[in-house]
Amino acid sequence: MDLTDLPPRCFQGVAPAVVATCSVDGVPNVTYVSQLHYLDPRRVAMSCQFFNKTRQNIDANPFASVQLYDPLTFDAYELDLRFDHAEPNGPLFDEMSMRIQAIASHTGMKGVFRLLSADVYEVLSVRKVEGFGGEEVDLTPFRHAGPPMGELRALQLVSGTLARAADLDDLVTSLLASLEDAMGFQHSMLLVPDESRARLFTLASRGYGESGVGAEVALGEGLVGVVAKERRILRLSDVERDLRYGRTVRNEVEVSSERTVTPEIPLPGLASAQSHLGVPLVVHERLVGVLAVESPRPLAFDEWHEAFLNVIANQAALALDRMMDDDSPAEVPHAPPSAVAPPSRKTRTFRFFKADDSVFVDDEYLIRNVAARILWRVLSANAADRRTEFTNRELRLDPWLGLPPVKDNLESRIILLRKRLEQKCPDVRIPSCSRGHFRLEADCAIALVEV
Amino acid sequence: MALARIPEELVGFCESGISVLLGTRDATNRPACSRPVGAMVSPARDHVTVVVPSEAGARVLANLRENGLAAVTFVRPIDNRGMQVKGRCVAVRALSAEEQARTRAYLEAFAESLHQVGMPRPRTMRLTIEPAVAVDIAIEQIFQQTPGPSAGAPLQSTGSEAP
Repeated sequence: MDLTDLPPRCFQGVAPAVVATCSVDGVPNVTYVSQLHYLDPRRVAMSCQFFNKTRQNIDANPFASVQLYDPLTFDAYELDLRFDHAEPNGPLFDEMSMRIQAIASHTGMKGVFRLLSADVYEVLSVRKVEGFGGEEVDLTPFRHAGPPMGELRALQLVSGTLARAADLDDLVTSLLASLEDAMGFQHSMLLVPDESRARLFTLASRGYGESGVGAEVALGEGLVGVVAKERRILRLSDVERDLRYGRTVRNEVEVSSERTVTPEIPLPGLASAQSHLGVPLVVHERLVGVLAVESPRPLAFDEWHEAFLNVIANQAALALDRMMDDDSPAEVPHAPPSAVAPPSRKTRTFRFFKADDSVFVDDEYLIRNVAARILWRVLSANAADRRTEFTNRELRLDPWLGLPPVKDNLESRIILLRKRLEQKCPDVRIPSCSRGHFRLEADCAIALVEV
Repeated sequence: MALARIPEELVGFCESGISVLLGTRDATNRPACSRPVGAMVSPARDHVTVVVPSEAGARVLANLRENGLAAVTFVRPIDNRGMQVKGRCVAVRALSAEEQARTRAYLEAFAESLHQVGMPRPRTMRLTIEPAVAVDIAIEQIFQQTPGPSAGAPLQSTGSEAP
């Protein structure tokens, strides 16, 4: 028997593994392993977050014995190990560190709670622990049968959707819809970096109700923020357990030291998410977005989902990047006259707060930053001379909007604005007429106030 | 070595149906671990008895008979609070009828502890609890084991409910 005979879910940390070590003078030690990582059939890696007794013992006596559990059956496996070396940096370290970073940043312990080294062990023997559990468990309900239409068909469907998308809005919306149709991902979101490249905002979401679009996260903070910063896939199979562990350490740090921990960051996404899979969208080493799917069930995503979503993310990254840049309408079609309806008795009041670059509609927050300035530009132009047609190109040339010269995210800001208006002020709309070109429509009178 | 006592306020914690881990080693200092199915603190609080399933625990039982050195870690799943006691096995023996009943009660309570962290009760109830033996351990040292910078430090009794 070797490690390949064990179900891969044993290594997902849902049922934590136990490790025994022994000091040179023969005193045993036993504790939980925070992360046991499968490397190859003959090697595993253990996370070292604190220079604890396990690590002290190993430095003097390199043998360890681990009991590992199948989270679905509670079958137990025993691995006898010999310490080989510690990796305080490098690709393995980065991979193992990422999950800890995600949890640490989410629980307000960025930099306080971190991986010290990835400790690599040679596997001397693997055996199933007989007499540990009782009768067999029926695993049928837990099997990931793959998409009902078959794996290739599912890829074909999603890939076709990406290839056919007319514009960025169509691309992101149909991508998430096709992921649900093909794969059953009911909760998904796509985030893109903003102008500062220090934050990401949600450009499209599915299965989160109104709260999704516009939600922001800082680079390196929380699960999605860490995926963006590290540009690596993050798969958590039991988010609640990971966060509970983080909170325990947080309490300990608060009690035992003067170190400052910051408040917890609200997790964008499902409050009840147990499984989380975040995939970076990267083009030429440049982050163009993060695609994340979630499930309220633990162990909802396995290797297959990760690989599938990675293929899709690579294709989506290229399409997204191309569309972000593309604002070249062949020509601007002429507007149907009076796209803005004659003022009815209903008036909606838009307030622009210069101090923080935000727009409120009828005293309710609508949007801020670049998207707020775009809206203000458009509404002001309409108020001045009844203009209803706008192009991305003219907005790009407008210095007041403060867009960077390249990769300016303009299209994604317009989509965000469009969606926020749909949610908060459906009387005013900015539908797309053709690529790089949109129209202002209103079913109400508009009052503008600058504050 | 003088025996150490589990603080009075932690006896309930140890016996409350939380995770119990047992660490041992053989004559060549090769470690081995096992998962006991219950723990009971002696009235003087200087001994702990853990219940070890005979088949799954065969390797640790052989180690205990050989040299007696033992580490027992208690961890409460809901908040990861933990402590570790180290000591010497003074007896491996059959369970009394009362201990058998307490072991069954332990499994029920343990299933509830794990249910609180998402493990369905029937899965925990699959754990084999008999045949099993009682292992009496004389406690020599007690350490904090809650994950964090103080894990591994000698336990300071705080009078609080958990270490």
